[in-house]
Amino acid sequence: MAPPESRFERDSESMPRIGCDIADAQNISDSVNAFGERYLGRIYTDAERVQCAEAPERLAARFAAKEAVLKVLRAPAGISFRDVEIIDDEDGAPHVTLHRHAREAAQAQRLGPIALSMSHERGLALATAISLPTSGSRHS
Amino acid sequence: MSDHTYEDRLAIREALQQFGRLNRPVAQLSDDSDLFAVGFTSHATVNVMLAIEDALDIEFPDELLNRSTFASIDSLAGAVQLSRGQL
Repeated sequence: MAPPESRFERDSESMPRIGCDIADAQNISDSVNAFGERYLGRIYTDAERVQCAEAPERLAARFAAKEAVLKVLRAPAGISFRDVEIIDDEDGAPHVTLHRHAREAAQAQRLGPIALSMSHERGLALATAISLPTSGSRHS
Repeated sequence: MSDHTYEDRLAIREALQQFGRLNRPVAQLSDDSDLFAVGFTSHATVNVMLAIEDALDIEFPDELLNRSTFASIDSLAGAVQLSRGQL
């Protein structure tokens, strides 16, 4: 029997989108050691690399943040990690900037700005991203 | 079937063994085994992708960067062939 009309579906389209991820700084170091510039250049933008000073824990936090944002975007195909840029402002708060396919995916799903929190301790980095659909986000 | 099929799958298996951080030996996996079910992570997919690129002198285009590409040895082999066609 089909479920009754879909308050769940209706509400789910206006619910916040949340994504989280965890990354191990040692894994990042191992990847840098194995692949060097090719690894860094595929994952991080130039500005991110400058801000991280290539410190493994900071790179791990950004990797987790990119994954968290991709989960918010429901990870459609074709999004490069570099399309999700995480830059700290002068107060140290991280800000998400979407480029290319990531931006297109967010626009297509009518997502608002993505808020982000990151933390790291003892070699593990954690990130959570959240976005609210903008008004009129129901698909016709 | 591509002439590269055997060497592609060999390179994919070697990359998975070295960088996949799977919780089972790659030799125990079939070509259609679900890699995420045996511990494949998103970060490990990056390393495996780079190792395959190095081994086969290809580059995965952004269009192939999604979970389904990395779901199995079969899907990775298909992505390798697509990558070759787009270079």
